[in-house]
Amino acid sequence: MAIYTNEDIIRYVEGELSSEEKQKMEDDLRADVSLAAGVELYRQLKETLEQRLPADEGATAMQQTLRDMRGKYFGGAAGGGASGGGADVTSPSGEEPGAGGKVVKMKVRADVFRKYVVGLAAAAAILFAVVMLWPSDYLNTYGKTQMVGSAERGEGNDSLMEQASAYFNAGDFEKALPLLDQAFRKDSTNQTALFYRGVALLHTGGVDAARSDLLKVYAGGSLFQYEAAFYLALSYAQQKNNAVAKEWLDKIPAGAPGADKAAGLRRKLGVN
Amino acid sequence: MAIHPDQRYLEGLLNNDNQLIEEVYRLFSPGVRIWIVQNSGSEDDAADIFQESLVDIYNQAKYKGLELTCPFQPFLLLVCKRKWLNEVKKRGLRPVTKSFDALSDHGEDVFAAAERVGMEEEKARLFLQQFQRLGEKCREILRLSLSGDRQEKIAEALGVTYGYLRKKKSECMATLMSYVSEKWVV
Repeated sequence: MAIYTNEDIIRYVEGELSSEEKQKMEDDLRADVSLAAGVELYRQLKETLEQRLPADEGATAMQQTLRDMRGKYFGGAAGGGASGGGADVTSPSGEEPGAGGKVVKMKVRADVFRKYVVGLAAAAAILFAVVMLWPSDYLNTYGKTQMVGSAERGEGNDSLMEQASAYFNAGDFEKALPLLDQAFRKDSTNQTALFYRGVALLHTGGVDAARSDLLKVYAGGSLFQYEAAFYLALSYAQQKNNAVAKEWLDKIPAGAPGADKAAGLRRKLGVN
Repeated sequence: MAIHPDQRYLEGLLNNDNQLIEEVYRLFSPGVRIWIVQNSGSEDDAADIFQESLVDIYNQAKYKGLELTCPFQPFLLLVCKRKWLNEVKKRGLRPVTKSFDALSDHGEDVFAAAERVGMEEEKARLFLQQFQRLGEKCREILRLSLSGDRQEKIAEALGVTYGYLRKKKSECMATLMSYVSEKWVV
């Protein structure tokens, strides 16, 4: 029996084997349990990645609801933040008897919680400085852009895009994001929404999701194509990955939208 | 087998229905909290396990078409229980001794459904964890190649040929398979 590599398995599942190779592999599959397990593993792996790698806005929203409920129905440090209340307001209706004893326990927890808060605040300050201030330097210097009005969309989307543009242009990317997302889901050909969603994601720290949007815009060949390339470059520059940033900057021809900003970023990165 | 009326809780998770999710917390979280606290856990552990179990159920409903043919309560309790037993083992805590009273009169199908959710989600988590071990280039190639967009378009966006993209995708997936195989037996 032939020895198969993972790449042979992939070629088999993807239908890339010749008919002779396929026949031989199918014969071997019937006799070789571990080979069959490899084929099954690849199928499951591919299916899971296809389903779960794209950002799932529904899951994000649902998890936020769970965090809110956690704060309301469970005590302790993690839940306290979500409800905005202290340990004394966490008792749900229908609480089991003996809740009185819990109050003392929660007070002790509150002291421990305070220590955590001080530690967490210090850690958060450092994290803020490292993650937000330093990387967003490029973003704030070179990543400023204004959303322009859109005249060709349907009525519902027009209003969404207008609201999104108001938030976006005011720098409130957190609020612009759900509106852009909604606009894009209503009209998946809306490259304007997709591009600005990508930029908003970049500003709010969702680098992977931002890149996924911007790559689609770049591949789409719309008016935003080279601006998308610029923001892709910026996303890599933020992570000090100058080599990949340069690859993206190289895709922007002179005179294209975003070429001026690209030249500025090139100089800053020293990748002329 | 007929769909149980409690399927509405799954729909509630899928639709992020605040009222239904609150009902789930109000009705079912006290039982889980008591049981976990009785079995070496803290209130925070209980909150984590409850929340993670609901996310697992959401994922199974969304990606695997999970439909409820039994009442939601014992099913959810069993998903939580399985998760906490794994955690106890991982942390080397005192073995669980108290039983879940609410589970005494339910059939094998509830246990099987909860076990399936646990297994499937453990596997998905492992796949995604191992995906993170890949280099950035591989992750980007796979993320784009598996997005459903035309491969020719993706190749163009990445500035590579279609043949190169196909070859790299295959190499990256093969590496990922080897990472997963180290940890998981199908």
